[in-house]
Parts: sequence; C-alpha cells; structure tokens
Amino acid sequence: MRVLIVDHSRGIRERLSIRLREAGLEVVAEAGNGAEAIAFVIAAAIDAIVMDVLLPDRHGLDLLPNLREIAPRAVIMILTNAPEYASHCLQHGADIVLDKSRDFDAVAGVLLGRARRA
Amino acid sequence: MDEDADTTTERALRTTAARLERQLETAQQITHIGSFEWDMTTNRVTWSDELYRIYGLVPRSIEVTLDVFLGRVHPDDRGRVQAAVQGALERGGRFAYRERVVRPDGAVRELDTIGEVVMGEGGAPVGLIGTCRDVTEERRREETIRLYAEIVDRVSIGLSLWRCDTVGEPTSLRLVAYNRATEAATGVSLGGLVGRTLPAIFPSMMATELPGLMSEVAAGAAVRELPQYRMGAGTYAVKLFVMPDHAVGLALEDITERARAQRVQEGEQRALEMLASGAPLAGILAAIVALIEEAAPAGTIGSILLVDATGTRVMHGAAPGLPDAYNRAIDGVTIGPKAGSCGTAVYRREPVFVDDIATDPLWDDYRALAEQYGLRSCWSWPILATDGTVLGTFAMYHHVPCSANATVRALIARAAHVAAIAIERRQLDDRLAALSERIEAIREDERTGIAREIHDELGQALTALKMDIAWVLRRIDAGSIVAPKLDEMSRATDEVIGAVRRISAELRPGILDDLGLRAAIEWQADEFTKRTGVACTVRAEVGDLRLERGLATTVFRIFQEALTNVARHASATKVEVSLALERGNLRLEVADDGVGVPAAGPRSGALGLLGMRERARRAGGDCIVTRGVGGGTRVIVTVPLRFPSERVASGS
Repeated sequence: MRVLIVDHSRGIRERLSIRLREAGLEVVAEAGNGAEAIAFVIAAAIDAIVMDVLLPDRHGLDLLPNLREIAPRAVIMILTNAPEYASHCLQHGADIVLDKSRDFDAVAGVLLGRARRA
Repeated sequence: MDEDADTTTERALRTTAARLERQLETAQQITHIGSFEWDMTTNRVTWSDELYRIYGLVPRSIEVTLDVFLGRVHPDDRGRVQAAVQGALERGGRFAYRERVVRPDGAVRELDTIGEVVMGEGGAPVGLIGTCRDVTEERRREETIRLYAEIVDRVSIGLSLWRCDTVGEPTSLRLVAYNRATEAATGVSLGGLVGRTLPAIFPSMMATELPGLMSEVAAGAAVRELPQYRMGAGTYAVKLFVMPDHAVGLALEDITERARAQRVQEGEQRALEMLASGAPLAGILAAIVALIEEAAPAGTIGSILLVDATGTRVMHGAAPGLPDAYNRAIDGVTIGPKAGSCGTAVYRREPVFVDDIATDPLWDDYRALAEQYGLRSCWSWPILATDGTVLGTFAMYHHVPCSANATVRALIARAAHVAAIAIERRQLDDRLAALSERIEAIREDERTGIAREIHDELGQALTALKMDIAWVLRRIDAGSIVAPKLDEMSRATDEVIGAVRRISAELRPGILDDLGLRAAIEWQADEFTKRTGVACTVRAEVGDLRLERGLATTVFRIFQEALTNVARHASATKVEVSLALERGNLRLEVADDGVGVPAAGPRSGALGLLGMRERARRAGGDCIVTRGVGGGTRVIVTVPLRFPSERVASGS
C-alpha cells in the first residue's frame, strides 16, 4: 500500500513514516504542505493519504475536494491535533479522522484494514 | 337790691361764661386745638388748658411769656416762627405757620398755628391771638398713607383691585384701582378705564382660567396662586387675594424673562442628560434646536450644521423647522468667504448676522434657494470646540428681515456652547469607540497568533514526544521496569496536549477563522455540552456566513460570555441557541431554562452583561438580556451585517 504523508512538521512526518514502514506500509512520499501534496498525488500512484487538516498554505478542508478529485480511489485519512474539524473533514471527502496525538499508533492498522477490505 | 340784681345777672353771665368755657374746653380737647393770646403791653401769654396739654404741660402750671413760648419751639423752627410773628406784627392781619414744639419729655409735636394781630386803638398792634392745632397724628397718618401709595406705585409687581358686581360672574369684575406696574406688566394703558369690566380691559385674559379664579376669590374663596400664568407672549406669577365688599386683589408679576431663562436652562439640562445617557447626536441637536426655538421670539427657526471630517463642507445636523428640501440643498455646502451665513461663519470663525438675505452679498450664491422657501434673515454662530476648532454652526432663520438684539445673541451663543459640548463629547466617544475597537482587533490578532503558535508548535512537539515514547516502548521488553514509567510519561504528555488544545481554543478557536461564525458557534455549543453536561442545541437559519472578522468575533465572544453566564448562574438543564438573519441584522438568541434574571432585568452592574452589551453597541447593534416567556434567561444580540468586501459568501 503506497502512502503519502502530509504534515507541516518534519519531525512528525519522519516518526510517522518510520512507524508505518515498521508496520509494512510503503511510504512513497512526504509533503510539508498542500501544494506538495497535490503535486505528489498527480505524479505518483497513491493508495492512501495521511494528512493533517492544518497546513501552512491551504486549509485541509479546502484541499480535500481537490485530492478526492485527483485520486478518487485513495483512502484519505485525516490525522490531526484539531479534532474539532472531524465532521467537516468527513463532509469534505475524508474517509477517516484520527486524533494525531492519541491515535497515531492505530494509523497503520486502520490503513491495513482498509487495504484488506479493498 | 341793685347789688342783688347785679349779682343775679353776673351770676347768670358767669354761669353762661363758664358753660361756654367748658364747651370750648371740650371742643379743644376733642379736636386737639389749643388757643393763645399774647398781650404785648404786659408780655403775658395766656394759653388754653388744651394748649398746655399739647405742650406736654399741666394746665396753668407755668407762667407763659413770649420767651417761654419760643423756648419750647424746636430750635430748628424757632427763627422761622420768630420771623413769622415779627412779620405779622409789621403787616398786621392774619398769619399762619407750622412749627414743632418740644415737650418736657423730649417728644416733638407738630402744630398748625393760625393767628391774628390784635390792633390797639391807635392802630398799632397790641397783641396776638390765635389757635394751635396738634397735627402730629394726622401728619403721621398722612405720611403713612403717602408711603403706602409710594410703595404701591413703585413696586414692580402689578397690583389691581377688581369688584364683582354679580357674585360668581367673572365678566362682571370691574376695575377699581391699579398701580403703574399693572400697566407695565400687561402693556395696557389703564388711564380712564377704572369702572370698566375685565373683558373690556383684558379680552385676551378671558380665554384663560384667571377670571374664574378671580370671581371665586371675590366671592370669598381662599387666596389663589398661579406660579406660571401665560397671557399673550408674557409669563406671570399671579396671586389673588380677598378684599372687602366682593373685591379681589390681583398681583401680577412679569416673570417672562425669568421663565424663559428657566426653560432654556431646563432644556440645556435635558440635552446634557441625553448626552450622558448615550442618546444619538442627531436627537440631542434636535432637542437643542427645539429649546431655542421655544425660548426665542416667535417665528424663529433654528438650524445646526456640522463641519465634515475634511473641514471643507458643512453637513446637515438638525433643523426640524426648515423644509427637508432646503436642508438637503444646503447639506454639503462648501465653506468659504461668501457661503451664506453658516458657511461664512465657519470660514471667518466668528458670528455672521445677515439681517436681509435679499440684499446681503454673502448670500449671492444661495439667495434664490433661500427665497424659494421664504427665508429672509439668517444669523449664524460658529460652534467652537475647546481647542478652538470649528465644529459647526448654530443658526436662526426668520421669514422676515430682522436683526438680532443682545438677548437673542446671548441665546444663540448659549445654544452654540451646549451644541459644542454635545458634538465634542460625541466625537470623543466616537474616537474612544474606534480606539477601543482597534485595541480589541489587535488583541484578537495577538490571541489568534498565540493560539496558532501554541497549537501548532507545542502540539506538534508534544505529539512527536509521544511518538518517541511509543517508539521506545515498542523496543523494550514488556516486563521491563521502564515500561510503566514510559506509560506514565505518555499519559502525562496526553494531558499536556489536552491543555494546549484547550488554551488555544480559549484564546481563539481556529474554527471561527477557518469555517466562520456558524461552525464556531456549533463547535462551542458542543464543547459546552461536553464540559458542563447541559444540552446545548443550535438552530442556525444561516449558511456559513463569512462575516467581517471583527463582527464575527463580536458575536462569538458575546455567545461565549452568554454560555459562561449560563454555566455560572443559571442552573439550567438545556440551552437553545438560534442564529438568524433579520432585516439586514444578524440575530443570535441564547435561551436557557434556568433560574432566569429578575423580571425587571439583570443587575445593571453585572460586568459580564455590561461587556456583552458594550461589544454589541460597538458593532452598531445591541444586546438585550430578558426573562424568557417560560422563565429562564434570554440573551438577544442583534448586529447590522457587514461582510468583508473581498469574499462575500453565504447559502447553506
């Protein structure tokens, strides 16, 4: 499963990347903002996008419909410290919303579960 | 016997003489007239008993001579009396003088003396005979009467006496007497009108309550007073008092000027109270114009113009008495050296009195306009701020050419002064409000920055820390003694992350900026329910309003404050929130089912409520806190909508 990580913080991206690889997922790219995320999704075949909703250049809610349009089959998971946006994210095209600080350990499992179902 | 007969005759004569003397004596005592006789040959003066008494002496107790007599005359009169006697003796015939005599106890009596020179057989004077009348009491009475008459005549209160021919019939009141002040107060010349009826003399009075009261008092009713009686253009303090024989006394004091000054003062007081209570400037200026129109002579139309922000034009302020079309036409007149009365007054920074618009060159450019509305004179006074800048003008218009007297000038100056206080104060308020708004905006910007910063930076760093703890945990044996410690660290980190999110949201929820007011209110309602257990439901009849940032903040902060109050004081079990658009206003209502505010409204000093209202007012709206229909508290906020110009979005 080819995963794109989108998060403003490099430290988070690295740690998450390590965690997902440990779980056997293939992290193909890391993006620090919305524009990079769009570029990667266009350039490479992505199965899952793990992204924060708070990004430096665009709001995740604005980005979601674009990503959904470009990669209609990708699993889009919002992993954020701003869970108050959860319902809005789901309305805007996200598949799953997880709390970044509390649920990050569950990310790999949830994605793998999705992959198996698919 | 001859002797006997003589004796009989003599006795009869003596008896008669004695009787006459007694009668004379009695007459003298009653009339206070004494008589004297001076025999020059013996220089003996004979006084009647009454004359002794007039001099304060026991009858016949002393021998009187000319010198004794003169010695009793008041020193100031002595020379004159002596000269009068001397003159009489030289001329012969009658003489008269008035003299004062001094009694032994020092009392002074005033006497009227009339005498006659007694001529001897040789044609030379041999004595004087005469009477002295004690006129002291009479003179005193006359003097008193004269003084009263003087008082009545000189007093500034009009006094008149009216008699009622037919009891209870005001039209039958007839003028009996009056003083000069009555004429001055009423402006009616009363010479020759004594005996005429009230309706004939004061026809304008008949429409008032006064004649009825006068006839009541004439019929014996108690004293009546009218502290502010208006007749014609005048105001009077009236007192009615009972006089004998169905008469009534009318005291009229002209208090026109005093009453006018009082009305002006009361009007000013009202205007200042309006200012203090936060009434709109237009209303205060209209009140000032109204009070001056009332105090000024009839036919005066007041107008206030305000200098605009650029200082180049005058704008409409208040002129309820001028035609709207005229007010519109002069709204925005350019200030200059020939710009009618007001534009020129601002330009010159001094009063401009145009007595005749038809001929005054200052009105060359505006004459046709003024004539169209029949305005013929305009006096304008600059309204000056304390620092000397011109804030506007106060003007008086008339439909006839006329010039301003000192009283009216003083009135205009006073109106301009009160207007200056109101305008300056409001400008200060506006500046303060703008400053307050600016500070509030800066504060929100800072809060936003700090909220973002701690949420992102701290939140991310703590999350990374937590991930690292998890990483370590995955690499140690489950039975390691470090494991429980690491679990504890992880939980502690969760707590810190929770605190960071909470503090950040309290500073400023990102959702308000990212998703708008409706989403922020819905989120805050959810948070409230989570935190307090009180169900808080939102019914929003608006879409994701992208309001101007300041306005969204205002409504959101009021909403937060309202919820804080519910949590603190209401003991509510549910809160219903509604957000709706209403005639260009955004309306937010927060209703709870708690104990509610008192029916009379919340305590005015409640700071939270004060703050909510202040915020709403700054945004041009209002916030009302009332008791709900079925109990509980209702907070209703209405603010006029302002959308950011660059992104107008709506619809759900």
